[in-house]
Amino acid sequence: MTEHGQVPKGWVTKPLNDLVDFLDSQRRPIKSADRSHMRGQYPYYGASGIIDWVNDYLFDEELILLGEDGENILSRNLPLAFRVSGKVWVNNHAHVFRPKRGIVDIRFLTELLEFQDYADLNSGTAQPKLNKASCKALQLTYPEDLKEQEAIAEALSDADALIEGLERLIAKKRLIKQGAMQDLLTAKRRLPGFSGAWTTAPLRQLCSQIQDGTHFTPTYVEYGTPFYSVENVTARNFDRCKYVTPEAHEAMAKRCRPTRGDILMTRIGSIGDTYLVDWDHEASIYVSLCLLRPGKSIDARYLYAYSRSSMFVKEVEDRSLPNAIPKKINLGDIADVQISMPIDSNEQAEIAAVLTDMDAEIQALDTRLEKARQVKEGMMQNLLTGRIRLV
Amino acid sequence: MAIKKSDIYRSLWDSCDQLRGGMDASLYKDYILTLLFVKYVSDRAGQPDALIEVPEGCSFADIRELRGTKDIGEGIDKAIAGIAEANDLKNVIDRAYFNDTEKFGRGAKMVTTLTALINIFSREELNFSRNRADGDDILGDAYEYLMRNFATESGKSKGQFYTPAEVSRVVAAVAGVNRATSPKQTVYDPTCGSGSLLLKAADAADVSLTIYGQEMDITTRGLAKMNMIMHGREDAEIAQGDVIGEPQFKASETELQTFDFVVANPPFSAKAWGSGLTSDSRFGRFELGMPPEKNGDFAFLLHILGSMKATGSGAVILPHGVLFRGNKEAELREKILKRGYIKAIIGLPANLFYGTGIPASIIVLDKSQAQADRPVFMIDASRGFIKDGNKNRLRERDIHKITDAYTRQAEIAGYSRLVPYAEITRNDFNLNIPRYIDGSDPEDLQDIEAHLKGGVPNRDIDLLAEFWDVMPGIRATLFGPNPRTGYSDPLVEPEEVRTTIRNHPEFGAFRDRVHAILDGWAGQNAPLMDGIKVGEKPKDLIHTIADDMLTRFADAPLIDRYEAYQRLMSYWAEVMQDDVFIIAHDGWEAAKELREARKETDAKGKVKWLEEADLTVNKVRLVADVISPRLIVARFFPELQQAVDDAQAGAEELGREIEELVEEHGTEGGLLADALTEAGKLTGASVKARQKSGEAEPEETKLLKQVAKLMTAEAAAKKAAKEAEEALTEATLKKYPELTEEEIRALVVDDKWLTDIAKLIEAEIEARTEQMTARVRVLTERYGHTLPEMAGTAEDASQRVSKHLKAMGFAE
Repeated sequence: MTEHGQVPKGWVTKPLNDLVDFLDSQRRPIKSADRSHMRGQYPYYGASGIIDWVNDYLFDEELILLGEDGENILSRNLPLAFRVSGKVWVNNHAHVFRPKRGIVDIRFLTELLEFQDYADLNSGTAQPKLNKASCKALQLTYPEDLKEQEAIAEALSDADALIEGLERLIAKKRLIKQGAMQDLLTAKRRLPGFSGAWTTAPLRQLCSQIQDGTHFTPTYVEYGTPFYSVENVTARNFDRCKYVTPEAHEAMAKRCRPTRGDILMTRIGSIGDTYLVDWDHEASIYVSLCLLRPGKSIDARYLYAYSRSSMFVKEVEDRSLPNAIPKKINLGDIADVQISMPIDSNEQAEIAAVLTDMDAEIQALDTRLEKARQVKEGMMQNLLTGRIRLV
Repeated sequence: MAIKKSDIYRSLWDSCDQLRGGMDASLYKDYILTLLFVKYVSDRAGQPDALIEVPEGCSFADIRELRGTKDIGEGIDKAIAGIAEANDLKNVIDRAYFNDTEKFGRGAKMVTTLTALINIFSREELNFSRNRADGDDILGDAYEYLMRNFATESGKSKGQFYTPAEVSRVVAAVAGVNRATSPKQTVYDPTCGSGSLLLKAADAADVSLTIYGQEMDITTRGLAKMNMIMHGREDAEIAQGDVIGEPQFKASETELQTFDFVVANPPFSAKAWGSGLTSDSRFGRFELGMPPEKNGDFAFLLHILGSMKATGSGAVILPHGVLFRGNKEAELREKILKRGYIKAIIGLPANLFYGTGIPASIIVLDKSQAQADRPVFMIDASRGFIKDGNKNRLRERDIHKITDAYTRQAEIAGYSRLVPYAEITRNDFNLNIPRYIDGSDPEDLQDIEAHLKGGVPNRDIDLLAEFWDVMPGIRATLFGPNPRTGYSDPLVEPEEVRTTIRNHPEFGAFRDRVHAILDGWAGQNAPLMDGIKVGEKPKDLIHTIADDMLTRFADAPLIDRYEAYQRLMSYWAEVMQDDVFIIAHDGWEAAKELREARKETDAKGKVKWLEEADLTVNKVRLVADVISPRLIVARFFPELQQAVDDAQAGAEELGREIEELVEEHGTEGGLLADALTEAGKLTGASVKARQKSGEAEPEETKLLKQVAKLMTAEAAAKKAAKEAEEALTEATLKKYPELTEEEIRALVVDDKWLTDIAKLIEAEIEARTEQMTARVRVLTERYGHTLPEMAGTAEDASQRVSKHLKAMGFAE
């Protein structure tokens, strides 16, 4: 970049004002009360995307919007610069740029703007803000050759396409997993080679232990034995937790001691969310969690897979205390929850295997998506600074 | 002028402000409601429809005389005692003592506090002399308001549950009171509180029933008695005492008096319910069995059954637990069901009641048709409510839907049905409503075949049948045939769904049909609104026009009639009711009145405005209660408004130009940096000072000149805008007194009410359209591309990225 290194050959540094026409004066805010009387088919854009739909438009061309205010200027959780086309309305929270023809490629400029760090330009005191003057003066270093701009834009948009493709694929796989649960856990569809009878049984018959955690809030310590509660299960995160002394843990563990293969189920606040214990360390649980220890008559992984289904959640909700605040289900009612299952334990295991594999595939895709995001970040860092040239 | 509820509430709030600090917030109501009562009966005294005798020296006017005197506390107590004595209400209405130094302070402190309190009750908005409560539960509503805002938060409201007015209305509607034929018949509430539920139940009868109530708390019992008097029911018998330990209404030493109708909202799950119970005071109530020691729900239920004639009926609000709890309560439940006393059960939303979040249900009891194997009508009303602060509240539509379903014994999927006795026995007499009514939405099933091979399952599209019935052509536009049976191909991309639906002629036709129904309604009812006459009852008008809304929207496409009804009723409650009150009270001419905003002047002569202004003239705030200036401007002065808008836009544009110059050149080292004030602002003076300093470079001088010119122009534009505004205000102000009755009607009925109501219906059309759009988008997005396609797309992208990475010099 210009501050530290050399400007790459063929690259120039110019203020944004030289690259685009500012169309800020043409945008107009509409009060939400007034918008409610003019709903329609044209998107109404704010600082970070579409916020409403209205029956009229202000612009009808390819433009770049750049969020003007809001915490996103600093946090950058959402895209700050984005391209719009067609008939749109823009309110006064996004700058509107029309890239000058023959000078800059719109896709390239959008990427370049998104890549900038705006923290230094923030002129807001309470609410972060990018005023028009600092936007106009924003110094951008870029290749003058339109061909090079296009090549960079092409590479980055393919990286975006990969991210989006993976996101969609993951969403699709999740829906298919849901469909597979709806089919396989109800015997609507049977795996090849199985035709034996199914049965329904309450958890009290299927589990050798159904027990909630301690009813007394323990004294927490900075280091010690992990102490899990409802939040750990709902967030599926057991790294951030409270700790108790080993002595306190031992006292509580007499009542229930979660071990690998047990299922933890939420029962106060959230109800019916489950997690299969996959660790070997000592830990205690709070009253808001219930431990289910699968007995001999059911495959633990099948029970866990079943507990992730909507059938299970509905059973739990129907048996929870009607409309109690916070939501709650009593131990005795948990024991009554009905589980539908094949009697043949091999079929249980195979169904569990199918669903577990689907989960594993989704997890692998999630990892791949994270990687693709990091690669895109790396490509931006190299291509938008000219550190690596494509020509 | 008519009394607005919001005005009463504000005065109550101000009164509580005076009491703050001296006593626990839960006690405010005792003093405030007593004063409200004295004011009310004093204002009515001497009139043909006076309520009770107010002896000489005991009226509110007499109390006013005491303001600022040291005897004020004693004087108020004496006046109240005088009213009590003259009407045989000793120890009933005189339970709140004002001459109490602990609560009101000593000497001057007490004088100031009580004087301020009396001043608030002297306000014109609390003048009841020209206003009858007219079916309006003023004291009951005030009680509810105080309970909601003060008693519950103090945490000392234990045992004092107030029944929200909406729930009382449902109870009154289902208790069977409408069967009453003779004034000799009786209605009874064993735990009557301030008596509001009792009054609502009595009002539901076509005849004037005799009222009986018992209340444990002695002060609250006094409030109930006052409430009865304010409703012209001064002969109501309200006894005091613990109804389980000491029932006051007895037929003999061993038998309870029985009543035709019983309603109640007993304290939920009372722990010490049996503390006053002895072997002598059972009165045969517990023959079916003793309720559990630590929970009084069934004790009250049994008391109610014991107090009910064999031909009687009633309804009681109890926690959900009574429907499914085990042990003794399960036995009692079974026995009561076997006797066939339970006619219906209505499950209410959680968090309706002040002081508790526990969900409750209404148990409708009916001995008159008791029989073996009696089916029970169940309603799951738990999902019909609106959030109101941290509480839930029943809306008009929810009340209407419950009572409608109950009256018609209607079977509505997921909401209500008559449950056969055999089904109840199969469930071991557990009455938990979800066992009988599945109110949950059907599951959104994922079709794996469609995910793999493409096409949207017709099953999912068919679920939108209510929309396709109205707009069949839109379905054909959105979805085309797919080679596999049972599937359709999405014809438009998800992003195009919204436009496709909105541009379709059938969507326009749907909208037109709703508009036509609304126009029909307006055509029918506008004359009724136009014809409001002095002395008419506003409630009759809203009843008529709202019922017509329900009838006309019964056949409306896609618009739920209860929703249309609700939107009208909310508008009534928020806006229209106050307008109609004013017109029905003082005539149409009153609607054009402009009055000074309410204000208070403190001891130092400083004016504190209590209201926002609609128009401000010479710093005087004016309020237009019915016709806002906006309506006058829109109808009579659109061109003046345009002139104001233009002038303002011009001024703003100049302001923006200046601001941009400052943004561009005002930064450190910029051309305008030296012309800024200390605070970093550019002002006319700061520019002039810089120009005069002679330090400016030529380029800066040029810019300063430009800025100075802009500033002069801006000042002129601002002045012009202000003048245009003043011209508009003046014209509007002058127009008010000139308005003819005809113009007033046009402004109020057409420009205000009908326009507002049309907007509300339009919003509902939009909401339904959005619902359909959202679901179609989900379906086209979900099944628009197959898994292999998407895997392929991702793979292609992945390969392209690999190629780019290679081009960047990263070989794999």
